[in-house]
Amino acid sequence: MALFSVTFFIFLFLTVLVYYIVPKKMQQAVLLAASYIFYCYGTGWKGIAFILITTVSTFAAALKLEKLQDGYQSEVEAAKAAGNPIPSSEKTKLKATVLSKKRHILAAGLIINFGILAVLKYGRFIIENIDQVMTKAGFGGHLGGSSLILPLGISFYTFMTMGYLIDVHRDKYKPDHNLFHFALFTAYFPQIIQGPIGRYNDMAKQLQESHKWDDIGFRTGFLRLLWGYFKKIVIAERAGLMVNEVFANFDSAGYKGFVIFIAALLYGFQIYADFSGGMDIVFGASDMFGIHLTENFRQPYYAKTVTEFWQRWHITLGAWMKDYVFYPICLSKRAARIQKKLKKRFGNYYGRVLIPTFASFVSFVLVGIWHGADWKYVFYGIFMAAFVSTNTLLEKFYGDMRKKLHVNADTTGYKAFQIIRTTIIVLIGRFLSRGSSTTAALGMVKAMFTSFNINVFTDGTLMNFGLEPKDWLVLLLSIGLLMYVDYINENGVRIRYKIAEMRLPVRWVVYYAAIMAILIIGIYGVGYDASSFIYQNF
Amino acid sequence: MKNKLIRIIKAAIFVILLALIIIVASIYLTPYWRYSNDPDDAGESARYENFYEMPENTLDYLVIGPSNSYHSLEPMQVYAYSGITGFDLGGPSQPMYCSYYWLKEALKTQSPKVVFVDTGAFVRETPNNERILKAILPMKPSMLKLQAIKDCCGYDNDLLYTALFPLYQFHSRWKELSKKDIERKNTEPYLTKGATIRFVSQNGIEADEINLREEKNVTVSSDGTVSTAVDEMPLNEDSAYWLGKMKELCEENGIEIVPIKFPTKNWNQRWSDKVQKYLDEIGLELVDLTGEENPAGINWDKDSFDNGKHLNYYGMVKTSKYFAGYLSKNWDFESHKGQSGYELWDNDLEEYRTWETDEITELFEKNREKYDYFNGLAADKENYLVLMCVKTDVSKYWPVNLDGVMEEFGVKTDLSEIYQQSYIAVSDGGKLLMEVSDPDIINYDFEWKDDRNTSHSIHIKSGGVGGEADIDVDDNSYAPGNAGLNIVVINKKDGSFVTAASLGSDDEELAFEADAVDDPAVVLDAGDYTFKNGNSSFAVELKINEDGSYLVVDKKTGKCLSAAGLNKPGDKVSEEEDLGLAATKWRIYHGRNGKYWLYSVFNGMTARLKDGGFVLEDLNEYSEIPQVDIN
Repeated sequence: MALFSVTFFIFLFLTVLVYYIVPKKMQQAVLLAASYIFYCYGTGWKGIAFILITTVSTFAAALKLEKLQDGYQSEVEAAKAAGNPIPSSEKTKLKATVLSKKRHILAAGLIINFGILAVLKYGRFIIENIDQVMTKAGFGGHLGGSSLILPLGISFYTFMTMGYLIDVHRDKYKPDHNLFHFALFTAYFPQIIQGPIGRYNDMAKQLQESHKWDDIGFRTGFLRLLWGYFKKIVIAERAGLMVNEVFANFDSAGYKGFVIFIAALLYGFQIYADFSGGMDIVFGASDMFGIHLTENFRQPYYAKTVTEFWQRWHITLGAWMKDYVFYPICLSKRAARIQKKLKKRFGNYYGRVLIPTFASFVSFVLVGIWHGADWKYVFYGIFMAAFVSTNTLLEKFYGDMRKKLHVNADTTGYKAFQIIRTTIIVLIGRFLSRGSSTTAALGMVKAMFTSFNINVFTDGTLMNFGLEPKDWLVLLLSIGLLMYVDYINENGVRIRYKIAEMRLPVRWVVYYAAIMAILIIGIYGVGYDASSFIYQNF
Repeated sequence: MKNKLIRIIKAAIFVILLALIIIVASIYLTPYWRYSNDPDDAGESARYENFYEMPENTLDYLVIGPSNSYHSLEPMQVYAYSGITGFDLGGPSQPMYCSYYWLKEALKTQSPKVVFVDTGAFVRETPNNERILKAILPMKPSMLKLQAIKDCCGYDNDLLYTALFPLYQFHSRWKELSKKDIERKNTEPYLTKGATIRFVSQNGIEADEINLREEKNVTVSSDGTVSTAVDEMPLNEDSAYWLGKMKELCEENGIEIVPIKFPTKNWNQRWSDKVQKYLDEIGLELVDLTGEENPAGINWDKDSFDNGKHLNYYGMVKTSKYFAGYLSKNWDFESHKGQSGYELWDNDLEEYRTWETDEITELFEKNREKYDYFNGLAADKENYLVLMCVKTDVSKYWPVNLDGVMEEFGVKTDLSEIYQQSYIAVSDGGKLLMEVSDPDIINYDFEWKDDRNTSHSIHIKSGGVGGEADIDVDDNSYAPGNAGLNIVVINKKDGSFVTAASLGSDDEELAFEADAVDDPAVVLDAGDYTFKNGNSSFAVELKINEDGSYLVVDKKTGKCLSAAGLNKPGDKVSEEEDLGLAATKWRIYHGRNGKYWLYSVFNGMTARLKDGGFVLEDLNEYSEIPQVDIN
């Protein structure tokens, strides 16, 4: 059941209906049942085994972690209460033993769950690579990995549950003692397909509470849902007509210069409208249940640096990486030791920033790999990592340069320059993730820069991609609308809420206009399959 | 609780309004398959829309099936001949299951005595989505429609979704939305009762070159030997099942069902035999109009518009005329003409007569316009001063059937013989004032007095090859100035300008151009006349139809000369009652030496009086035409 499908729409509204009809304490049960029905529909009965394994194993591991921690604490307290406190050297030893045990459990949890993810998502890729090496080495390669299934949303729920396990391990919060509550956290259907990667401490309370019907909440949710459909069906799918053609047939059709540039630019809007549109549907759907998820986007195209871009784009993934990869590397004891050595060799500033640079590099390579099992995503990660990590590393250098060139970083002009610069870097990065391979991507970048065929704007070339003049007009206007709405959001105005509070006739006109715009100028229907969101497979 | 109720009511209103908006959008974005002379417009929407307008229980018979059904029978012609009412309910490549549902839909409001099912569906294998939509979408919403969608569209999801929710396929038509989508009307008045008529005068190729259904597979091997194998096309058993269901449906309603194969070359005897085998199982017999017997008398040289697949207007008139007799003979039908409850049919027939004549006239307009123009002038010649001059040449493509008109003006020169010469002629009230031809440029200036004795100065110039042609009256230049014959007509009464025309005689410019074409020429007044040619004579009464054409009534029989279904040289002109159809409409034009010639409005042919009757002949503009003496 894709987010963009009539089935989803009907399923969602039926669930909302049941959700508010049943007694309040049944609401969680309704959501859990709906989530599992949704899951089975999407992945089939086989796929549900994996999410159940993850749910149960993480739930159990977290409880075990708590037990160990509590055991240690109660031992300490019991001794204290008995008037015979454990000496601190003993305590340290005891603590270390408990910690070691906890680490074993954490490791087991991580290995099992990331293991499942690795095998299912990256298994084929690894096997194929081994096959290739073996073939080259003359052994022939027949491992074959094509029979693996990829359960729905596995990247998302694995990251969510593992974040939870690490947090429990770190004693950030107490684990959940109710398996059904935890199962709902893992499988909550609006977010299972394409995130966001929610955090237990943000969601648990909302998922466990009961929710009263809320007019404004429902209206804003519905509006956001419509906005999501609009972005996906009107903008992303329309932009996709050209993008798909140019990226798929770049070689054979010999696209170059502005054609590639436009396709890449459109791809930027396509993937943004697609991904954030999907998110809007997820958030809108969830809002209808009174459950507000963690935002995943914050006007990314108004970012001034690549680092900032990643703080605005797929926020929950970046945050996850920060909490569970970046900080652990930076704050580990080993890092502190190495840092000391580095400071001696490279001076205070560079000595200090080299470790974070390395950590962010690792994080972004992982972000790249998270996107998919392909070398191109590895390179994509490295490319992004190069910008993000050197941003930290070279911050001082950039500052010095600005001073020397007398550039004032606070002017609008400079900010615009930064926004455009960031957009171009991101755009080039996109070639790596969207091109059919790294070689093709580099070939496209080269072809883009080696031809200045400005005449494609006037000679009708652009009409050859399934986009008629009227389509271009719709595309440009709707992208304009998208950027305008982002601009307003950037300035802190929340249009949805404004509309939701308007009088009924106005609201309804907005609803009807949005629905009819989607139905009429949307790209869907015969010969057209718009049902797979780009991010669904990640 | 109250709040809850209000909320539910609001939600319901919201959904209902949304549904209405979507329905309106669907209506306007779904193509309107209108009826027009464009080959792409077969009028599926118009057909079914019109069917729903038929008063309840007024149809005697129904015709259903693929394209041959509505390209063969013209219910309006059948009505004109017999007063029996019917409707063509078929659709393009209509599979039998679509026919079944349309029949079922039709029987909701109609109770025909007999249903004819064209068996073309037996040889169609793969259904075509667009054509199925053309059958399903115009159906009125009902449970039956849902069932029809399930059975007719279930094989393809896209088709199914579109049938249920037309925007699924047609939403992208917002880009091409035009006035005609908003109007949702036909460009032609819809009078054909489901029939789609193609007014084309003849087939693209000759009959003996048509071999659509040879089912031969010709292979050429590497050594050059050609081998031919019979490549038998399998028949579609599914059609037998649905035809069986149609039979059941008809039996339940006391209707006779007749499987029929309408005339087409897109068929063969083997198929007829095989279909009959299926029919044997359900106890039906095929009425085969395709075979050697050719009961409708189809002439495949002329009666098809697409190389033998479907009948054109002429073929349809023949089939309809045949059918009118066949229906009257085999069933106990009464004529509904003039009956109350059938006013729609009589009114439509009235309109149909005009429409049919207009359509068929348009087909031959290129010729007819100039005959009417020149003959019209000749009929009023006493009132006119006619000024003529030639630019470049008039001889090469001079239509000899205008010679008679030239004689009326007193012209002596044979215009087909003055090759690349300048020419000037002036005819005053039918008398030739002057006439001259010469290879060089001619200028002619003279003073002319009208009936009120006012003097006018006239200048005429014929500039020879490449030169100019001018006709100036009192310094007003009137000649169109095109290559060929230029003609300016002045009213003798007051010297005012009447009309100007040019008749192209250049290979490139055969066009006739006139500032105004009068009503068709009334060359002879109504009354009794005798037509004579050699030993043959024929007493007639001429009546003038509303559109200015003649009705030629045979004094002996009291019936009218009719070309119904005739369009081949040598066909004998028949006689029938005056039904006001195009087949009985004639024009009479001036011929040479005071004779006249006949022109059939129906087929644009002329007729020779021979052995006491008329025989059709092609109208060849550049050789002698058959003429009659009329007294």
